[in-house]
Amino acid sequence: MSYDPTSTEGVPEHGRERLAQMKAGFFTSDLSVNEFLLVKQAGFDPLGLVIGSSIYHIGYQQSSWKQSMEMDVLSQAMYEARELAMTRMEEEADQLGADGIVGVRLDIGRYEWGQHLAEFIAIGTAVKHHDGEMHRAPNGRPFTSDLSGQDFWTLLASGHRPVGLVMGSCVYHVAHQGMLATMKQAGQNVEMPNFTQALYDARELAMERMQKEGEELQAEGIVGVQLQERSHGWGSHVIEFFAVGTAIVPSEAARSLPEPIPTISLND
Amino acid sequence: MPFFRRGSDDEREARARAQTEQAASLEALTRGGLPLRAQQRLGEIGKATSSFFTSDLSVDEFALVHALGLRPISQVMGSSIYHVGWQQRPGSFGGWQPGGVSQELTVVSEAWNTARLRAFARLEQEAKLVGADAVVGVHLTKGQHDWAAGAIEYVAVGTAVRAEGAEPVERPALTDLSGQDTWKLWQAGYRPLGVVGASTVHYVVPGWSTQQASGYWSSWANQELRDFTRGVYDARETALGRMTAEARAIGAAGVVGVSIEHSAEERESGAGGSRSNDLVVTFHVIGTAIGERRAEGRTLDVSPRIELRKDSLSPHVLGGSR
Repeated sequence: MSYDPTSTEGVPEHGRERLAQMKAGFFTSDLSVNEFLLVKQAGFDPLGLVIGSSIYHIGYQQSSWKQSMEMDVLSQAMYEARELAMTRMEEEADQLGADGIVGVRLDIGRYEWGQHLAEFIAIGTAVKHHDGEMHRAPNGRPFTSDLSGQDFWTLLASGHRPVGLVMGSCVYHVAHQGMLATMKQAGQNVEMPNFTQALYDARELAMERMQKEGEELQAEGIVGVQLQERSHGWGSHVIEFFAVGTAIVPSEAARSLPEPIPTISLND
Repeated sequence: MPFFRRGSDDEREARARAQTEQAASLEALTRGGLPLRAQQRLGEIGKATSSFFTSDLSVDEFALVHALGLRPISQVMGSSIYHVGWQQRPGSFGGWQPGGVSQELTVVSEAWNTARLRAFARLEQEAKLVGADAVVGVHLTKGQHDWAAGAIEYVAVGTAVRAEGAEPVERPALTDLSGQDTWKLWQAGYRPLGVVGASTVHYVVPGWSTQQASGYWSSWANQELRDFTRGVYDARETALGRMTAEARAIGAAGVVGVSIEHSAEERESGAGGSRSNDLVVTFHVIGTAIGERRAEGRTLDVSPRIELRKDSLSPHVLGGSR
């Protein structure tokens, strides 16, 4: 999906009204008090909660019983749907004139009324720098990150800034084990190399794709990578591996993180 | 529509290539190595001149690790799916065992230990490929899949780091401590040497007195089930003993952050006409072995503080449940 900062495609009437209201200076956000204060201190104002969602029909792919392979149709569906939701969220942020979005979370909803449907939602808080310092990603989009307000502050203080939430997805079909192999293993202590290989490969693909996204953003690196393993009702042998993290770049601002002091917390 | 499409030559070729690659990966795995794709990707990172990195470090960890002069290189991983063998229930058939039996199920213990060691070994290989000096924040997770009955999976994930200006090391030091903890230890004059761990599974057949106390003819009296207590003790001692031995073998001053996971599962058995409720005791212990960094012990200045932290929000959940 191409990125159009002025697009309100897919945003319903009420959503547009909300955007117009937020443009006038009133904000909503899902930041906690601490997060709000830290984001403020980092030089940013919250502009409003931005949302992108996409209800996506996930196609069908035949898997062969005894072949471990990537289900590329499904991988692509999972990836594109998330990308769609993210892009819509970024467009909303752009309309508010935001520099970026913090605290982004990606959720997948499944409903009884649509077996092959999944709703992909991206939610975050759009923020803008006080003095209009440039914080956008190199591709012109507002930066996105799944960092909390606290982490955002720390990252800026350490002389880095987030450029984008990067992700990689891989849906993989794990082969069934043949009768012969099962019989050979009966009662034995042995590694199951074909299963190990399948899951290893799937994780590797997800991580590789995420890494590639980071490189495309000309990032210095990716922090906070989470690797998730989920089955979305495609049967037990089909698993999605999803890698997500925040790509960061060194910022122009100098490192201002104070020397850490070891403390004992008196909170319980 | 891929469903109706007939495969073209290109596609068939790609599929054949994927299959040969898979076969080569399988062979590498059987030798305890890494699949091809991982070797390629990490090899490239190891050779690359740019400082692009991936890491599962949180921002705080990243900042602290930076302060130690460590540069993250890549997230590394190791995993192993292992089929657990079968072992005869200990204890003789037929008749009572007046004393009770507490014995290790060596086959099952070995399965857990081998799976863990293989996962760690692969993680270490990955770290070596990217030229790391250490791996911090190693998380070990257990996976279970309903398509692989009777098998266990271990996945170890961590961030490989390189120390600036340090001599290249032969084996990267693994630690399951977070960046924060590594930083604190370093300040206090210690360094991580490696992750040590052990698993044991013990089988306890209760003796006469325990069976009487817990079984059908149990009295009203308070009474300890001595055989079960002994079984749990035995299993724990074996696990901790092995871990300690491993730490000593690498010359550690001690082990920190030991986590002990234990479970006891009752199993009914009927041998030789007599019934008994046996106990299967499982212990998993894991921790980081540390050694002193310098001869003179340095104490860490610590200041007490009260945090103004009371976040009312739960942490963000990405992509659903955590």
